[in-house]
Amino acid sequence: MIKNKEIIINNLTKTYNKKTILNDLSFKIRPGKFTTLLGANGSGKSTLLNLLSGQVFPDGGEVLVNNESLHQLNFPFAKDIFFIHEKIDYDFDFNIRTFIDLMLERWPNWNSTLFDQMQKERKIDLDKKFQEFSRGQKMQIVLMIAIASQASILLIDEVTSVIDVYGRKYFLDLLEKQVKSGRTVVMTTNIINELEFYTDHLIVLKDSNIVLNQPSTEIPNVFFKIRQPPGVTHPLFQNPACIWAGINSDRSVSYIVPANSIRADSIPTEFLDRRKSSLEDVFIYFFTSLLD
Amino acid sequence: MKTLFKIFFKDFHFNVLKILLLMITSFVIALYAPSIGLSPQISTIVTTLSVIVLIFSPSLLLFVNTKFYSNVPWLLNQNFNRTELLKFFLLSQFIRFILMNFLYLCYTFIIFLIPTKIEPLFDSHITAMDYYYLYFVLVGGWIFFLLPMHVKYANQLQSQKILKLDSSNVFIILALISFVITSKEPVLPDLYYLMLFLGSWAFFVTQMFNFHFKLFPEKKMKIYSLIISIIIILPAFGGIEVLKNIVLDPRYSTLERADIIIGLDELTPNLEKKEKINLLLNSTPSTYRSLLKIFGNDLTLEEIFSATLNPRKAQHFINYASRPYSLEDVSKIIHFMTILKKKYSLGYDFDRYSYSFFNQQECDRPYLESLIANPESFSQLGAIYMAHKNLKKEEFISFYQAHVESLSPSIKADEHIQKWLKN
Repeated sequence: MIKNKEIIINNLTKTYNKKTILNDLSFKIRPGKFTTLLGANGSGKSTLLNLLSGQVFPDGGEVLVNNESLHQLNFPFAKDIFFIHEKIDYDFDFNIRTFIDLMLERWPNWNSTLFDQMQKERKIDLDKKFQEFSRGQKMQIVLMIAIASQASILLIDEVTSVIDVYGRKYFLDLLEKQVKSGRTVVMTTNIINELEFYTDHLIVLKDSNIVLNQPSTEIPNVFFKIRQPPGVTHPLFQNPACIWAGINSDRSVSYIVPANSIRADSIPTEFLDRRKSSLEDVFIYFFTSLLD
Repeated sequence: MKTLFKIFFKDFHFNVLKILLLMITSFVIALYAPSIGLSPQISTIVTTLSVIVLIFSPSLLLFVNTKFYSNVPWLLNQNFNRTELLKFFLLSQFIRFILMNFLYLCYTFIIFLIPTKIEPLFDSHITAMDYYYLYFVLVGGWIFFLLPMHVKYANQLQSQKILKLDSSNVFIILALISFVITSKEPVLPDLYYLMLFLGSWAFFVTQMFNFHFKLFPEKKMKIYSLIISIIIILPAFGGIEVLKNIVLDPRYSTLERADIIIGLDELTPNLEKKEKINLLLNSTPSTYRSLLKIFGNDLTLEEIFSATLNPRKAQHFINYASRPYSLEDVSKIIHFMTILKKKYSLGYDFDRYSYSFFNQQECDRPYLESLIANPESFSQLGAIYMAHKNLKKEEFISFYQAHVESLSPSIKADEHIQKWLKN
C-alpha cells in the first residue's frame, strides 16, 4: 500500500547569481493530492521542483519529507521520490527491458501489470535502447516507469509539453488514478487548461513568492468572473481590480475579479458570469503584465 | 549498492576478458613477430606497437563501464540517496584500481617466469622507459585527470556549469598563466608550483564532485574545499622543512642529500662552500649537473674544478659554462679542460661539447693568436670557434687559413668549421 508522505517547506530561499529566485517560502504539499504549480517563465517553478527533489541545495530554509530533511546525505525516503524532468537521460548500452529488470530490486512495489498495459497502449518497444527513442517517447517511458514504480511522490516538471495531445490525456488520466490511490503529484506545465480537471491544489509563484496557495475547490470563492456584453459600458469595467480575461464567441469580454476587492453581490446580475474561474483565468489575473 | 553494481558493472567481466585477450594477443605478437619472416622494418613496427598495447592494456579498465557519471542526475536523491551513490562510486573505483594492479602484477609474474625472452623485448623497443615511472604516470593520470574528466563530462551532460567563469575571469586566468610561462626567472620555486597545483586541483575536484553528487550546499562546500586544499598543502610545507633539515644533517649520505637538494632547488638551505664542493665531488655525474645549476654561481671556478674530477662531470661542466666569461676565466677553463683531457686521454669527441661554451665568449685578435699558438687541440678548437664568433667572415677565413697547417685533422674536419668555410 502506498503510504502518504507529507512534504513541508520551511523558509525556503534560493538565489542564482545574486538574483533571488525563491524568497522565504513556507508551505506544505498536501499528501495524496494533485498539486499544480503555476508561474510565468523564469518564476522559479523548476527551481522549486529541483529543491523539492533534493537535486539542488537551498540557500536558506529546509524541505522535510515525513520530518526527514530532504538534503541530508542519508535521506531515507529517496526511493519514494521520482522527479521527472526533460533532462532525464537513461544513458546505457542495454535496452529498456533490461534496465527495468535490473532496477526491480529497487522498486519493490513495481506494478508490472500496469506497466505492461501502458507499454502496449503507448506502443513502446522495450527492446530498444532509451537513446533510440524520440524526446516525447523518452518522456513517456520515464512517466511509465515513474507510475509503475509506485513511488509515493511524483514531481513532474514541464514534460507533458513534449508529449502529443493523446499521450498527455492518457498520462494525466493515469496520474489522476494514482493520486486517488494515495500518491502525491506535483506538476508544472505551460499547457494550463489541460490540468483544469486534475488539479486538487493550486500554487502560484510570482516575484519569488507564493501569491496563491489554495485547494482548487476554493478558487471560485477567491475569484469570480464578470462579462461585458458588446457595446455596453459600465464603471465596473474601469475598476483596476477587474482584469481582462479574454473575448468570448458572442464578442463579450470576460474579466476576472478577486473576491476580496469587489463583493459579488454588488455587481449587477447581468454582468455576472456563471462559469467558474479556470486555472488559465487565475494565471491571466496574476500575469496580466505579460500582455503589456 | 547491489542494484548499482548490476546496472553500471553489467558485462564488466566481459570487458575484463576482452582486455585480457588484448593483453595475450599483443604479448604473443610481440614475442613471435620477429620470427615469422616479416621484413625487419615491419617486424620492428609490429613488435613496438604490440609492446605499447601490452603495456597500456590494463589501464583500459579505467575506460570501461563508466556510464555511472552521466546517470547521476536521475539517481540522485530519488531511488538512491547521496551516501549510497558515493559509496558505490568509491567502491567501484577501488575495484578498478585493484584489478588494474593485479593485471600489472601478472606482467611482473610473466617477466619473472621467462625473463630471458621478455626483458630484451621490452628493453629493445622502449629502451628509455622506466616501468615504475610509467606505472605512476598511469595512476597519477587516472587520479588527477581521468577521474575528474569523467565527472566533468557528466556535468556537461547535465548542461550546467561547474564554474561560473565569465570572460573577465578567463582573461585574468589567461594573463596569470601567460605571466608565469613567459617569466624568464620563475616567480616561485618549482615545489611551490607543485603545491599550488595540488591545492587548486583539490579545490576544483572537490567542487566538481560536490556539483555532481550534491553533497553539501555550494557555499559550505567552498569552505570545505578550501580546508581540504590547505590540508593537502600543509604537509607539503612540513615535508619541505623536514627535507631542509635532512640536507643539513651530516648523518645522511652525500648522495641522499644531493638528491634532496635537487628536489628542493631554490628552497635548499644555505650550505657552507666546503659542503657544496663536497657534494659536487661525491655525487654522480647526472646529480653533479643538477647541483651545479643550483649552486654553481656560489663557487669560484677553482672550487668547481676541484670537484670536477671525471670526464662526464667535465662534460656537464662545459655545458653549464655556456655563458659569457672574462678572458681570464676563459683561459682558466681551457687550461683545466686541457689537463683533464690529458689525464683521461680524451679525444676530439670531448672537445666537441665545448661549442656552446666558446660560442658565448667575446675576445680580441691577440687573444685568439695566443690560443691558437697553443698546440693543445682544445685550445686550438676554442680559438677557431671564438674567431668565428668575434671576427668578420673574411677575417675568420684568413685567420683559419693562416693557421690551418698547425690544426689537427679532427679540427679541420669539424662540421661547424666546415659549414662556416663553405658559407
